[in-house]
Amino acid sequence: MKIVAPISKIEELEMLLHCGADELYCGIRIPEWEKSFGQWWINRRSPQIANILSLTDLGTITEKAHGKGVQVHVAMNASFYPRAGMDLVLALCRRLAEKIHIDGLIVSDLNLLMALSLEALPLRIHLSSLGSCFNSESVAFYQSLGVKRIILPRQLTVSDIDRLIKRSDPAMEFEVFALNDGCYYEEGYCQTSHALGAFCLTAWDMTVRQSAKRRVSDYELEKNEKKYREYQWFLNNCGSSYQQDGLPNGPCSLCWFGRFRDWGVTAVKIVGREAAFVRKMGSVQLVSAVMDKVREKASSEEIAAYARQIRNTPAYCNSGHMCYFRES
Amino acid sequence: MHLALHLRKIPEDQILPDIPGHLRSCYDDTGADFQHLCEAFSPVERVYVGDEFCPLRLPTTTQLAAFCRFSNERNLELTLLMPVLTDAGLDHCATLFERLAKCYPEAEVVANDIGTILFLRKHHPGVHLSMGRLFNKGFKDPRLSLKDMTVTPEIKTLLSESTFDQSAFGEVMARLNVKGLERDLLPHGEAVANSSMDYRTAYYFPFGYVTTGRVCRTATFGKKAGCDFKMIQKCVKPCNDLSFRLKNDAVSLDLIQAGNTVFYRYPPSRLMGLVERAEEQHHRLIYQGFAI
Repeated sequence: MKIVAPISKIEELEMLLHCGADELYCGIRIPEWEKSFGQWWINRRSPQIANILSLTDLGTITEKAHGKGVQVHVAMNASFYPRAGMDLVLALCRRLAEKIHIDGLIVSDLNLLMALSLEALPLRIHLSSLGSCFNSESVAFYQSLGVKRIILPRQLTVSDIDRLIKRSDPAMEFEVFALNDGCYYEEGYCQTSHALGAFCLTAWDMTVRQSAKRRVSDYELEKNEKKYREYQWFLNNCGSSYQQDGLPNGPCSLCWFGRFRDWGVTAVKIVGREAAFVRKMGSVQLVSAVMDKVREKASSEEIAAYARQIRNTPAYCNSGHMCYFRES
Repeated sequence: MHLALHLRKIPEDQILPDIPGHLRSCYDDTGADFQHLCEAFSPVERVYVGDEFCPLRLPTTTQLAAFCRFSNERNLELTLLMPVLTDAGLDHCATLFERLAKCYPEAEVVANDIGTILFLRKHHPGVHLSMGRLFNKGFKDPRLSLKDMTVTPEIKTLLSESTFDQSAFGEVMARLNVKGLERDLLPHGEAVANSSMDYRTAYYFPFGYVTTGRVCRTATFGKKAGCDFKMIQKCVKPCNDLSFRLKNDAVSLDLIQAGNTVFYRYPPSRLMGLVERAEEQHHRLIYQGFAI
C-alpha cells in the first residue's frame, strides 16, 4: 500500500519525501478562475491556504518528486463546474498533463469526467471521494470513463469497503482515508462551500418544528447539542490538537491497515492540504510507522494493537468518534 | 404540469391528503397568498414512496405491495424513490425491486447512485428509471448573502447552474439509458433552470436539500447514550415524528433538519415562479410537504 500525502508548498516537498510519502496530491491556484468566479473555488479547498500558488512551483515539485519515483496528482474536485468555467478547467487539465507532466487528476464532477474521457490525456484519472462511489456496481461505469483509482468516501463502514472491493474488478485501484479531518455530512452530497466556513460547524439555534408530532425538552436539546459538539471536536482533529509526543490527533483508520492490505487496497490517504508543515510532518510519520508494520507483513491484529499504542490516546480511541468507517 | 405526492404511509382514510391546505400551513408564518398558485394545481397523478436520503426509511416489501394496490385502485402512477446504496443495501433492496416489478411492472424508480441504476438495468431492464437530485450538484449554501456582493455574469451563471444543465450530462444519461431527471431549486439561482436538454424533468417542492449524510442527528434522539453519532443499521425512526428548525441570524432562508438531511424552504416568490414555469413547460412537481 502507498502513502498518499498532501502538499501545498514547495518547502514541504523534501520533508514529505523524507518522512515516507509514496505519492503526493495537491491543488493549484488559478488567478484567472478567481477573477471570474471570486470565492467559488476551483477545487474543494481554499486557494490561498491549501493550494500550490503557481504552475512554476507545481512543475518544480513534480520534477523533483519524479526524481524520487513519487507521483503527483492534482485535485480538480469541485463538485461541479459551470459551463462558463469548463473551457478554462479543460485547458488547465491539458496544460497539467502536457506541460507540467503531472501523473493524475482527482475528479468528482461527472461532466468533467465525461469530457476528460474524450480528451484521453496522458495521465491517470482518480475518482475523488466527492464522486461518492458507494457500491461495486458503480465501479464498472467509472472504469468505462477511464478512471484508474477510486478514492472511497469516508461514510462507508469497514464491511462496506471489504464487500465493495471484493466485488469489483481487480484492475481497479482503491484508496481509503488514513488520517485527519472527519466530515459530518457526506462530502459528495454536501452542497455547501467551505469558502463560507464549514457548514457543520456553523452555530444553529435548533428548535422542534411546530408541525412535529413529538416534543423534545430544552434539556434534551441542550444535551444533544453538547454531544454533537463533542463529536464535531473529534472530527475536527480533536480541536486540532497533538499527542504529547507531537503526533497529531484526529480521525484515522490506522487500526485497519492490516485488513486494507489483505483486501487489496492500493493506497491510504492523509487528509489536510491546508494543514501546517508540522501537522503534515507528524501525519506522514504516524502513517509511515504503521505502514512499516504492514510492509513487515505483521498480522492485522498486531497492526491494530501497534496503531493504538503509537496513537497513545486510548480514551479518544475508545470513544469511537476517532474512527473513520465505524460500524454501528 | 403533472402533480405527484410523496407519501410515507397510506392515509388511514384511504383518501389522498389535501395539498393546498397543507402547503398553506407550511407557509403560515409568511402571510403568503397562495390562492392563484393552488388553483394552478392539477389533480395528483402519481404517488412517490421511499426515500432519497436514508435506506432505513424505505418501505418494507409488504408496505410497498400495499402502496402498489393503493395506486392501482386509484389509477395513480407509482414511483419508488431510492437513496444511495452500499453493496449490502443493494442486496437488501433486491427483494424490494422484485416485489415492485411483480406488483406494479410499469412503476418508475428514481435512483440516486449509479450502482442502483446499473443494478436495475441488469436485473429489471423494463423499469422506468430517473436520476434523482443527489446527482445534481450546484451551489446551495444557504449562508451566502448576495447583499453587498458584486455578482459578475460568471457568478450569476454559477449560482443558476448545476450538473444536469451541462450538455455533457446528456451523454451520461444516454450511457445509463435514463430518461428523467429530478431536481430542486437552487437557493440563489434562477427560478427554474434553462436546460436545453430534452428529458422529463421533475421538481420537488416546497423544500430543496442542502446537505445530507449517513450520520443522522435526528436518530440520536432515539438512541441510548453511548450509541450516538455513527452510521447505523437499525433505527427507531424518530424522524417520523420529529424534525427541527435551524436558525442563525445571518441566514435568511428557513432551514429544516429532517432525518439526516438539511432542507431549505423555497421563499413564496420562488415557489410561485416554479409553479408557473412547471405549468408552461409541463414539468412534474412533487409535493414533499407531508414527507418532510
